[in-house]
Amino acid sequence: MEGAKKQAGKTLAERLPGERVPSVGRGAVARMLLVAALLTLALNYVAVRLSPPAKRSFDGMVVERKWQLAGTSDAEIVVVGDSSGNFGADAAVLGSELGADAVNLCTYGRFQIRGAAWMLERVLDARERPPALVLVVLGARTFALSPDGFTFAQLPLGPLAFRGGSLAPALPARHALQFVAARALPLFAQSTSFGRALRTGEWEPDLSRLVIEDDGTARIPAANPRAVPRFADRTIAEYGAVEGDVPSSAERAAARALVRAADERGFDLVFATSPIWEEMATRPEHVAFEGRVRAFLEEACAVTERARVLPGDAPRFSADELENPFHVTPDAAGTYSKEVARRLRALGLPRAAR
Amino acid sequence: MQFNSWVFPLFFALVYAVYLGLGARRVRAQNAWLLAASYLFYGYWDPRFLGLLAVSTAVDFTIGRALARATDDERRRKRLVTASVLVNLGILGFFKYFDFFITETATLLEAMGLSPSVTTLRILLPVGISFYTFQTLSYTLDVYRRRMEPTRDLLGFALFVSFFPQLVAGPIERASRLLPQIESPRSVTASKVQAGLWLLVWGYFKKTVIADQAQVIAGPLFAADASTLSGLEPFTAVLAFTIHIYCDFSGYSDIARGLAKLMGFEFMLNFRLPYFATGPSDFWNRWHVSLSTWLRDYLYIPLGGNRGGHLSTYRNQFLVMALGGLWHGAAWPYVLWGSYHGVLLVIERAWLDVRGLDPRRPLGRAAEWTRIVLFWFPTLIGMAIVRCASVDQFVGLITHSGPELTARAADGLAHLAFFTWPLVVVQLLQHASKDLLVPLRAPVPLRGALLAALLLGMLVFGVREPAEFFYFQF
Repeated sequence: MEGAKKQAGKTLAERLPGERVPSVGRGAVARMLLVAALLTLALNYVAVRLSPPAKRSFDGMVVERKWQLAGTSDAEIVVVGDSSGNFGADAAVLGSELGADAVNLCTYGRFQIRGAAWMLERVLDARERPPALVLVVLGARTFALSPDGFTFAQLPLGPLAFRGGSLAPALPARHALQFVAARALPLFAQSTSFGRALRTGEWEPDLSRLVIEDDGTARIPAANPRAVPRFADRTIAEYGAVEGDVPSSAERAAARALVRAADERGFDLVFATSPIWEEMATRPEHVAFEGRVRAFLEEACAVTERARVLPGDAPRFSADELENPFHVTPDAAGTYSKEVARRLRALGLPRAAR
Repeated sequence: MQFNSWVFPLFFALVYAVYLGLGARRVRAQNAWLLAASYLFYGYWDPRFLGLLAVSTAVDFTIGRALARATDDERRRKRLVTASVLVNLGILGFFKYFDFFITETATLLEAMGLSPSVTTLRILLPVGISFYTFQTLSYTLDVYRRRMEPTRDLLGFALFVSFFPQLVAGPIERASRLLPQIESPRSVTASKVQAGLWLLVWGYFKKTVIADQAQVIAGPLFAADASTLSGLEPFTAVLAFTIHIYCDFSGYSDIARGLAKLMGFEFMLNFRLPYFATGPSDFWNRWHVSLSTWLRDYLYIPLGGNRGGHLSTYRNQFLVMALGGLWHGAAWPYVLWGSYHGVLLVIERAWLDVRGLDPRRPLGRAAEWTRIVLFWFPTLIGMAIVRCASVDQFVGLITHSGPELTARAADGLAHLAFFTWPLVVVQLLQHASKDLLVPLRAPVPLRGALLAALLLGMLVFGVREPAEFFYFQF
């Protein structure tokens, strides 16, 4: 290597770039930072005015629509949970099978139980008496995801709303900081969709790819069987990467708050497992992970007869009926919802209209 | 704690505020504060390995003091420096290479028809051990060679070993450069702050936007069975990894150097536009400079350097590069990668020797650019070697390459082009001006706009999930 250095000699030394620190004063640095800060904030403001997050991504559309429904629906059966419930719980089928109106307020996994709790809190705040039945649909993968403040910033809530209500615990400090950053710099919160829009020029999502019915049921237009095994492998890897308790302590607190609310407010609460790809359901890693989730939920529900875990294994589907191991197509959603309704009826739910 | 984690900005904001609050007059208080912060930074990852840092520090400080006392006793001095080398390389060898050599020996014995009963220790590799071991070793070696006076300041020395900006992934600082900065007051000037901020933002941009997005392309292609790839897909995979590893590692170095500048320190340059290299020796003047100069000073020259004949020079060049490869990781791809670069250096040297060419002859612009472009091919092959998990995968990538632009390759290349063009533009300016800080020569509004563009780029395109820096595994 010494030889190599000498080979290059002066010529190499001349070719090599160096670092010449320009001499500046404090004022110039301050002005540079001011220009950078103003431009960053201004462009965030303009970009979000031109293209609001809720109009730019499917996630944003789902959250906005469900939040709006949570404040206006008076359905007796309320479904909250993750994207497996968003696509799997067909509110119309559930309603007709159970003889009461149903609304699907599921969003997606990163909201976890806390997100479901905030959604339910809005439902309870908006009406005089609680719904008869609250169904919480969560796929096992949801408990392997890490929530963050960017996700919660998509809920149309101010930061003070996250101090911790009767159902959902307060945001931890790290998430609160992320929440504030996402609000101050909204491009950050919606970076994925905004980035995609910049790259592709598609500023508005193609609504034919995601239909949200009036009752909140979201529909996937087509299965994607080739992607299902790949997604399953990724999920198994995510299970393996989880450290600590399953569910996390924050999720445990949120689940216990839901159970307590069911007992105190007088509604029935049922945790249901999501629809799942038949091959995923038998993977030992999945069985073990889901077992940990289920064991906790059963323990949490044991304190009141108002709360329970839906008996039986998760309804299974072939890859031809799925977009990923937990997202079913509309036909399969009908099948899943009928099966869930059958099990609810077997439990005597919903109770007779009050 | 990673630079791209959410906790790091909070950590640094607190450290920096107290550091500035203490003021340059209270150097020892500042050093004590930085030492505490550095141990917290390292312990946040795994507190069990703080003991190793402390052992390295205590051993080399003690040996340094003993070397000072044994001024005229050359045999004792040799024994002392040997002890330092054995302790440091012993720790490194145990944690980094023990399992590798046990496993490889067992494989060899099995190939010979024997059935060895082998137990590996499943040793967890302490992050950054390769970096701080080499750094602290440079101290005892330089004291032994009388290139610097041993320090009496244990606090300063402990900070030299553990200083958090460069603790886990370099640059590998020399004691003769960093210790004097630690032991005397630092001045935090507006010029340094501006340069530090630029390095910080540019480093984060390279990591979160370019490197992590390139990894989005490279990761799945390298994870796939090589036989399922076709056309330009292998090329796309290797190109994406080549961009990923450079932006990841140089991004880390920029962040480290930026943090140091903000606190009034100066770290050595670690990257000098390596993808503008005109040949193998030029490449190693530009890539991971703190390691290549370390290997030159503490391995190549003691081996004899180029003081012997041609053959001994070639041997030394090859050996140093092969060992440099092994430094990167206890796995054959790293050894092969180092050896490959050793062969490239030997070929270049031999070609110059045979042709009787003066390596210092000036190159015209056309010749320079021709060499830059041509040297990309061996560079890409080297990157494929280091990234492939096995020889089979490497052969698979080569045999399944072709000129067809498949849809997957087109998508990957377009994705890469979209995220890499800022790097190309900035580096062309840096190359033309020979000044890595050339963006700071723009007028104030333009500098502000450039910073804003980088910040907005990170907001919109930065990969939000903190992805570990590639060089952490070394």
